Order: sequence, then C-alpha cells, then structure tokens
Amino acid sequence: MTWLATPHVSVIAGTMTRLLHHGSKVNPFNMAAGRTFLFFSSTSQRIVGLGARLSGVKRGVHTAGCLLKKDSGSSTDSEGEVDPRLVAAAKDVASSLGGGEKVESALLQQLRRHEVATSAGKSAATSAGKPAATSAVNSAAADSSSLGDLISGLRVEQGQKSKRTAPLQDRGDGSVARRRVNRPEVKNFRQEFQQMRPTQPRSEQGVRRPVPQMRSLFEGKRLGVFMQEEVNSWQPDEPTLWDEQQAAELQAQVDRPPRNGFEEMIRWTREGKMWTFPVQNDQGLEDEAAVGFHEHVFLEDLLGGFPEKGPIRHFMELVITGLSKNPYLTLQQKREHVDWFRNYFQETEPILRASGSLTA
Amino acid sequence: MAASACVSLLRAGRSLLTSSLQVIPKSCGECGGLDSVMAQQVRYRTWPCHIMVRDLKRRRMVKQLGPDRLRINSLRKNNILPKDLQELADRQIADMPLDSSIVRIHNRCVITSRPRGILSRWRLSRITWRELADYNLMSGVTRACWGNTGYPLRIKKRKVLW
Repeated sequence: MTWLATPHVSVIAGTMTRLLHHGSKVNPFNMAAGRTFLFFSSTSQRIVGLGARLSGVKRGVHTAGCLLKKDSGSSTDSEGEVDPRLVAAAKDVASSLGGGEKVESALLQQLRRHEVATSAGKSAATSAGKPAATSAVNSAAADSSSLGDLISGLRVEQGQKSKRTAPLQDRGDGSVARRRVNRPEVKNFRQEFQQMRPTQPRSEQGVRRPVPQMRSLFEGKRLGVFMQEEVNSWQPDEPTLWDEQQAAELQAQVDRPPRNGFEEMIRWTREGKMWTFPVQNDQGLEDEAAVGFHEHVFLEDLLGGFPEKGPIRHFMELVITGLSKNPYLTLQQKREHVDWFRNYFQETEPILRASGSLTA
Repeated sequence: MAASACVSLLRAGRSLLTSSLQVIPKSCGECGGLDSVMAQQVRYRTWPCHIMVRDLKRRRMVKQLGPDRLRINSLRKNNILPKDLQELADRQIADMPLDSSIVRIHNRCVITSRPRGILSRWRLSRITWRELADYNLMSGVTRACWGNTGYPLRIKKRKVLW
C-alpha cells in the first residue's frame, strides 16, 4: 500500500514534500510501515478539514493560527481541521526559505487548496454513503484522480481540479457559479475566470492543449528590453509615397464628388479657392488688422543677434528700413525674413573667419 | 534643401499626371450606400497643354524656394557686404534649381493655356474671356459703349408745371 505514499510525496511541490516528511517525523503514532498508508491518507483528511475550517475565514493573508484545529490530541482529524504539525512544518519551511509573512501565507494557501480538492473528491466519492473503512480507499481513489492531475500539470491552479470533480452549476451566460469556497486573494478577474473554466475528463483529452495563461502586463520581473528614454527617442517613420497614395484612395472612397455646381462652389469656398461674397480684399489676412502700424514700422528690436558694427550691421539696417516701408508683408513674415538672415550669418561666420574676410 | 524640394515636387507632380481612382455615383440623384457608387479609374488628368504643366511645376517650386532665392540674391546684389560672402552666396544660388526663379513663370490662360493675350485680372486669354462675356458669365462686364448713352440717368425736373 505504500505505492500511494510515494506518489503523494513526490508529486507535490518540494515545499509540501518537506512538510509531509516533517510531519511524518513528528508524528509519534505511525511508526510501523503498515500504518504508513493510513497516516498519509489521514493527512489528506487533514487537508480536507483545512478547507472546511477555512470556510468561515475572511479573505486575506492566512496565518497559521486560523488553520489550527481547536481540539488537539487525536491523530485522525474530523472533517474540517488540519494537523497543527503540518501548520508548524509550513511555518518552519517558510522561515527557512525566507520571505516572511508572504511565503508563509502562500504555503498555507497551498495546504488549503489541497484540502479543498480532496474534500470535493471525497464528497463525490462518498455520496452513496460508504462505510468509513472504505472511505479511506475512496478518498485515496479520489486522491489518485487529483494526483494524476497534479502529476500532469503542476502549474495548473487547484481551482480547476475542484471544479472537475464537483458538479458545476451553469448560469445562462456561460459563466459558472462558484462554490462557496473562500478563494485566496485573486490577483485579477481574468485569472479567476480562467480557473472556473470546466475541462474535459482525462479520457477525452486527446491532445494536451496549452492553457493560455492570462498574465497581467504590469506584473512580474521586468526584462529590461525597452527602456523609457529609448522608447521616447524613437521617431515614427515618415509616411512614404505609397502610404500617401493609399490614404488618398481611402479618402476617395469616402468623399463623394459634388452633386452639382452649388456644392462645388461651397467646397471651393471652404477650401479658400473661391472668394467669399461680398468680396473682401483682406480675405485671409483678418489677423493682421489687429496689428498696429508701430509694430510694422519700428523694427529696430529685431536687430538683436547681429554684430554691433561692420558691413553686416549696415546691411541689416537697410533691410529693416525696407521692411518698415513694406505694406504687403505680415508681421510674422517680416520677422521670419530677419530670422533667416540671422541664421545665415551665424552659419557662414566660421567659413568667413577662416578665409580672413570677417574680422569682427 | 533642394533634395527635399525635389521630393516634395515629385509628390505634387504625381497628382498632376498619374492616374487616380475617381468615385462617381451610378445614377444621378441621391446616393445611399456604397452599392450605388462605382469607381472608375481616371487615366490622366486632361491638361490643355503640357507647357501648362511645366508652368505649374515652376509655380509650386517658387512658392517653396522663392523666398530663399530672393534673400540670397539680396546678399549678392549690393556693394556693402564683403566679397567672400558674396562669392559664397553666388555658389549657393547656382546650386538652387532653375525653376525656383520667379522670372521663369509665365502667365498663361487657365482654360486654354494660351501664352499671349492674357487679361491678368481674370487669368484668361482674350478669346476665352470674350466667349464667357458674350454669354453674360462675367460679373460686371458689358459691351463698351460711350457717347450719348443715357447713363447716368438725369431726371429732368420741369421748372413750370403748366
């Protein structure tokens, strides 16, 4: 009967293995090999009791105290309690691993999940009301099914196993009604929904399809592939001629040609190709009406950035005089004109110095 | 600067000469969805004359590079600035495309592309102008008439009523 013991020990994650070993050492009652099987099954019973015990526990970090059974002294636990030795073992493991409170609560959550799974299997197996002697066997059989799933996929969440064995209530909209189990703190809604999906029995599972793990984008360790400064410095590619052509074709599908001459004239007026009637000579230059004449005439302020003396200064003063007499340009155009010259002289200054003509 | 001008002119030029997809309604009247619309390919935009296309290209280039050309020329055409600067400006303006010069633009009729006999106010040749004016399509244009025309109206007021 020890065949059951070995898979039970080897399959569960390393921490659980250590827990059970620790528990077996501490247990003073089951020393003989003949009773080893019973011990491990009672362990599962203890795990079963854990889930029932937790039904009244609020969500949050699970501490060891909430899992301790109230009455101690009996080797076999009643329904809904966990061996305090398991809990103590979990605490020892957590302290040895480090991490503190979080690791401990994670381990205790694992314990609870195992108990939930086995309790579900046990309740399904013992629905006919078999005697207690064979209940161990049945629980073992139920354990084997869940064990097989444990073997097959360690990363699969416990919630799937519990749903597979227990009957599920299907709501109309496809979501499954959950059993009244206090789940551990679920990180996001998507994970929760993932666990509740019913899976096929193992006999019908032909190909092992990978379960898409919906992970949140903003959790986990950063890979450091994309850094913020680098990403910010990326410039999008300039649209090519093909992109422009495609955009024009798309727009042609949307824009309808004008149905008559009136629509054509309306379109041209909006584009600025046609005069608005009555004709205003200043059409397009309405903003210039707000600019006073003094800004057009007194342009000496624009001479900043040029040398104080010399031919360039002389030239720019002539330019400013000419601009002050120009009624056709806007103020912005005049400023751009002077800025262009400033930029040009700054760029050509080193060339002229090298040639020796500019000595200022 | 010139390279970008050429590229942008290419993009402009393609709209002058290449084919495009024109969406037209299947039937005259209200067009509902896409099923009442058909698309026919316009093979070429019909210009009356290819010289008109060249003139259009020059106008677009002047719009883009004309101010720069004017400013560099102003550096050259004076006796104040040092000669080295003016030689530098000479070389720069020689690098610029010829079509950026404003003097290469020639006013042509927008309908017929006629190079001579153009009325600037209407941008039309005299023949086209006359055709439109004869059918009263030119606002404010009438046949010339002077002498005793009757205009301005002079209302004769009688001094004695009987």
